[in-house]
Amino acid sequence: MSTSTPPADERIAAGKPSALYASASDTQHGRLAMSQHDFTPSPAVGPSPESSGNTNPDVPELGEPPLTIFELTVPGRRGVLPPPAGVPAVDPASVLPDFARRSDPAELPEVGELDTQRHYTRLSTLNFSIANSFYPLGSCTMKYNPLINERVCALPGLGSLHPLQPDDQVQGMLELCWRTEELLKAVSGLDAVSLHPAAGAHGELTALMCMRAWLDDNDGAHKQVILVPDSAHGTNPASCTIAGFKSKELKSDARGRVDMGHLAQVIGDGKDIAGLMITNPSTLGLFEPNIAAICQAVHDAGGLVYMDGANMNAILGRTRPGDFGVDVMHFNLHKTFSQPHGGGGPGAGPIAVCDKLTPYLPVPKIAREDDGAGGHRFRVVESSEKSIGRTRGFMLHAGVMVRSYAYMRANGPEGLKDIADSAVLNGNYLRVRLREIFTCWIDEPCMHEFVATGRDLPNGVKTTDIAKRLIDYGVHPPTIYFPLIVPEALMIEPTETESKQTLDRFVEIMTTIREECDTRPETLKTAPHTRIIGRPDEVRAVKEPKVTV
Amino acid sequence: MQHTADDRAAMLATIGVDSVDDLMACIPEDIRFNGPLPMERSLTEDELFRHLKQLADRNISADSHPSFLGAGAYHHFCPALVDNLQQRSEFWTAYTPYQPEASQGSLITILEWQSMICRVTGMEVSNASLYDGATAVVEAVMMALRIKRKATRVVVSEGAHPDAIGCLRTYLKQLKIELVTVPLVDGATDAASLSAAAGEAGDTGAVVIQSPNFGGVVEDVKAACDAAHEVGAMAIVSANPVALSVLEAPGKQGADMVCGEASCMGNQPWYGGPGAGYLCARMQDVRQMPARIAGETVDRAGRRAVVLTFQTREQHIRRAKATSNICTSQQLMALRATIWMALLGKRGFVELGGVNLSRAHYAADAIAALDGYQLVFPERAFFNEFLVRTPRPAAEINQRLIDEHGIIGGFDMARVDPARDHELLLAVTDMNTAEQIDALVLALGALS
Repeated sequence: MSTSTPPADERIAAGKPSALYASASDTQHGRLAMSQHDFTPSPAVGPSPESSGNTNPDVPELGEPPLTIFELTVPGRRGVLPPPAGVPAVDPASVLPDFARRSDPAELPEVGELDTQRHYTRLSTLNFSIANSFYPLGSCTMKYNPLINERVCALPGLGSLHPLQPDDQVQGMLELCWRTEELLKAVSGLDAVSLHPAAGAHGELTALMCMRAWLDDNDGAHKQVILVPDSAHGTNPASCTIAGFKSKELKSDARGRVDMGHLAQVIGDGKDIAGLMITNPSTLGLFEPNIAAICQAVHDAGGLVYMDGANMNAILGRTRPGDFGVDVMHFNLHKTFSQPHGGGGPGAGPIAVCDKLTPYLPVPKIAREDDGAGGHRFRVVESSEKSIGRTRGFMLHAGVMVRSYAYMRANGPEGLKDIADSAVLNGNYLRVRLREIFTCWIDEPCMHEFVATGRDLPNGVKTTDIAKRLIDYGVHPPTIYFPLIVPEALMIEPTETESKQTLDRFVEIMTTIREECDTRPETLKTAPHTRIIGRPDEVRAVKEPKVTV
Repeated sequence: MQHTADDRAAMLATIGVDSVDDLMACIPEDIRFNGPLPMERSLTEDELFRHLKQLADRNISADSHPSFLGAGAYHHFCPALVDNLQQRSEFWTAYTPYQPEASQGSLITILEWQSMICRVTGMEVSNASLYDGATAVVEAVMMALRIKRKATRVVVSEGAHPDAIGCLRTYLKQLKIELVTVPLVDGATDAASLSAAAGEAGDTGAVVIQSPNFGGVVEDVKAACDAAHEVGAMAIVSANPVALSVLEAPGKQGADMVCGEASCMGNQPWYGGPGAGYLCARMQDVRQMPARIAGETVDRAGRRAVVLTFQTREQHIRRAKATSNICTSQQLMALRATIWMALLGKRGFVELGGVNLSRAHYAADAIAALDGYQLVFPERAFFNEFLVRTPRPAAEINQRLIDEHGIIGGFDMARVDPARDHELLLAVTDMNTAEQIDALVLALGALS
């Protein structure tokens, strides 16, 4: 480890070289930090040189901890033994032709089981997560993921199901998925659901393919243009490209809403307009007041309206996309319906569609039929005449469906509405309290999130500096530099599961950081100071790529 | 509701409204939803568990029954430590590691994943994982088409998984790229047929094969890659990574890209998802790869650090011009696969492959010796899966296996080709004990 660490007075706690597996907690915060009880995985046990800094001369320097598990390899060491064959061993040379036989074994690590446990346990402590930190990451809905979901996922007869088992062996799973479709229909106000899409962007793409198929069948084969507001997620235009459409940017007005004049102008005579992709509430956290008129204008042009459901937690039970003119939408089950984010997946992005798009949904589909004995049986339908076809392997992310189904059933109709109410209450409470400290881009009531700007910070402090400094205080930074239409954006979504006390502490921390902009801007510009690493050199990661070890 | 009545009142007062309804007033009145959502009442934790248990109990699964189903999803041994470590909430409740200082745990495991899967496939660069095996094939093909910009055609062997071919058909239609499928000869891909289907040099952007193929046959990967290169196409190999324990690394046989489904390593099949697609390539093509890639660098104090790199490829920066619309990975599944590979290790991985090879051949020999049964391609090499010609329709065999013997049978090939209704695709892995195999053989014998 280098010794060129920041000056001590700039640090909340200095990062000191660590011993192997030294620390149970990589975070140690100053007196304003959110309490360890709430925001760190567990109290540090024993000496914690990574976090306690240069305060204890009795802790010797033991060098840098291993980066990857490969550095723990000792030739010949074993972790877990595979089961013995139990049948006569077959010599690969006797059954595999020379050209097919592996010449050199894959150079996987050679590590013990305990070393492996400690390595990954330690790595886990280097993460901020919902379980240990406030995580106000705008648009991502980092809320509590109920543990009952994990318990039910561990039930025998779920995870071990093979996707190609005959329908009569998987009736419980099919019923669960069918019921999940019904619940998503209920909250969307739309007519049919496909659980296929593996993620939100996959839902966008699947939906665009269904839109393309409907257009082709309805004299719209020439229609190529999908309107996408300038505040949209990057996936929207990227999905358009892959689906063979051309995305065209739709301007926001000064209040962050769709500019109705610009909408009329870009629609023009409407002959190229295939549709619109709109996020509502928008990425600015604002409900689109003209949504019904916007949908009507697109329909009048012969186009279809797609809604990005990333922010669905703000409107559950309060309004339904199918009721305000949306033809098709995706859900992010990992945002709205509590599938854990997993450090970057898995999620799932089911789509809901109106009647006219239903025939185009991907296959296979789940059908419910009378069983002739007063009950129902469920069947997987492999093909369907107008379907766009297959968009993924097998059928759905069943593991995600179990969690989201459990979450919706646990909440019920009142609970789902409460989710929206709490999300909007928390969003506005934080907005009003932070408005005194940071400039809100659109200073009016929001839904579940809002966007502040670091544009007018003093002493050259940027939004990224605020974000990095928050890490020192044990808070995961908000989404930054998005949406693109807001300079130096800080997109803050507290989510519905945070308490007033947590939000108050966050305001206190933001207040302190705002003061630091005036009193010690260099501390911010070099933050974070308390993690195992400081700001990484991202240019070097591209110029001298090292993507394997 | 998270909030106490007092907190709620205080928050509303701070905001300066009387109720949440006032905040919701930004939703125009004519589109507000006023009734209760049309769904059943909420369930307590206890009720929910019972309800889900009832649903789970109505399934028959490999938890309680021997299973010989493979066809793209495989049961394998998984050490308890994989479950334990994945359940660290710091892993499963974290977001995508966009803030490296707060995400070194996830980022280091991604770098490890990339390193391990590259070592298994013999390739130079991997991304952090993709939705699943079928879409990984699609992403590989679209990547090849970005590299071979003038190509108008993609050639795929019919030995590829039917889901992968189905996805290619759906996606390539949108991109107006012709998809040519090449029939197998005696169960294997014929390299000359691949070349013939590719047309003039430059027409075809990618040639796709799978090994072992859908019927379990080990392909001549090198011959297929050579055929692809002859016509100026990228050679894409879809491979079951567990099979690469004993089969040659496609990277050593000329593959430009290797892809497939990795959830067979350390994950349960979960009725088909979530799994983990993987995609490996050559470093020279890294800028055309889809999705996240982790890379090692240093921080400003010179400490080693891992970040997401080459982000200018991605949708959040490039928007309509991105290499892909994908903005996620299957991180938790890839993490499980990573820990699984680490625990088995260099030697254990090869041994596990040997167990699969041994048990599958033990089963195949015994079944082929039964009256009325024979291997469909007795001359072809296989890893842990093989096609059996059955004396009765495979659907009937499967039904009677479960009804009379409590065995989940193989894959009925009539599901992909109605004419092949007397062919059963059987997978025999390290999860099928000798006793299970003997019971299957006995049962099949009784059904001849």
